Amino acid sequence: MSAGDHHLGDDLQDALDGRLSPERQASVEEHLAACDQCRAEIEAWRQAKRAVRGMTRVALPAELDGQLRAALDRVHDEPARAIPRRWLSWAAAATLLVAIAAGWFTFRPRDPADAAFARFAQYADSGLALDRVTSQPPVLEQYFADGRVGFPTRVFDFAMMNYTLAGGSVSELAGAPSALFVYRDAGNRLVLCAMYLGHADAVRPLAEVRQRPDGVTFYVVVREGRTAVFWQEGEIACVLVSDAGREATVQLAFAKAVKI
Amino acid sequence: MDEGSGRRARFEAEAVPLMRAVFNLAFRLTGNVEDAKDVSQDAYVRAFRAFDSFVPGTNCKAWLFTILYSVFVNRYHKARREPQVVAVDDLDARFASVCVSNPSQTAWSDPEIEAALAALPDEYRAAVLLVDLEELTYEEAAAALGCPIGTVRSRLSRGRTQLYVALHERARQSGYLKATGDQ
Repeated sequence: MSAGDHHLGDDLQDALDGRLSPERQASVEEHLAACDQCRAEIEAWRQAKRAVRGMTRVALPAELDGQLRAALDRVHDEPARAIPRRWLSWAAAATLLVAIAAGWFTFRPRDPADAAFARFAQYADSGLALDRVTSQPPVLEQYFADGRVGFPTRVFDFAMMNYTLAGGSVSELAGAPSALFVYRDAGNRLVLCAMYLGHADAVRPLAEVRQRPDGVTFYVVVREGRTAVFWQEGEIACVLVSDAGREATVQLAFAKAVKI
Repeated sequence: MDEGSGRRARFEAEAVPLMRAVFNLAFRLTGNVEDAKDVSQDAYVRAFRAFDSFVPGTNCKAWLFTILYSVFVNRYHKARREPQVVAVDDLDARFASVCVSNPSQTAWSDPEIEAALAALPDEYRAAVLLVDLEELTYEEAAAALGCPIGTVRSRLSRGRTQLYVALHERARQSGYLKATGDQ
């Protein structure tokens, strides 16, 4: 018989690692008492385990402690240096409101769908830091409300759909001031929401148009496995982007959009 | 204290003291100090950013290792030169030949153990380090490695097997084990 024939299968290793019920452990020990082969194997594994357990951990290089703390300081300081927040003084927001009210869209550098997908990619692919990390929507709403964004926002609670808020940032989308917030689920899938001063129907040419029974119109754009759903709430355009699939993303938007 | 500095204080209290364990794992995975420093620093920064998702009272070390291992796999695993992998059939036969039902208690030196460990395929070595050195449960190791528990069990089994063979053969080569009393 070779070492590959395990009489006890997984139980032999589970016994070594204390994973068996007392009854099963007793039964394994009974087998071990009578079986040289299994006893030899478990003893070899026990010696290997003990050898590794007894290893000394390498010493921390002297400079690493300082380097790590400096790196954490840079993360810690990031919110205070976020450039978008300096843009979003009331004066800037008011100027943009006037410009948009006057229909001056041409200064906008990018298409909102492009911008929304690009923002999603930044978070999903690069792990971009959030200005305000919190799992509590009210905390993030307060953060946005403290004069930072220039328009009223609300932060959705997706807990019922098993998405947890990760946090948010004050930013811009397609040249407009924007509140961005990001959710994750247990599988680390991402949902990004943005609210910005703008017109959701700007994406109509690219979009599938869906209507909620109460008449709210949604514009659905799908690109490379990611779905963006736009809709309008008063002066504010809202967009949800996710990689959870077209219908799932549409349902998220349907669940949270408010008819104004 | 605002929420930001409160969070930093909690991170300093929970996660920073585990730096040596994190660096050690990084070192054992990458095989050199410079890469280990990079991987550790990257992991800590990511951990700090994601700290709100850490559930207080759960195993912070296991959580940090999950982040570390994902940094390691994404950045270093592919580039790293794979050590020689022992063929499975050969390994079982060699294991059978060195296993004895009542072995004497062998004490191997750290350098011997380190060399044998470094010769394991990355995935086996990671499983052995997490469970045997860092005492994670199979469930915690599975989460850290991003694989099913059955895979942890089999990597552990192959890793320990290969480790034992390497240690035993190395010791025999160096004449450490006497001819009598261990066959």
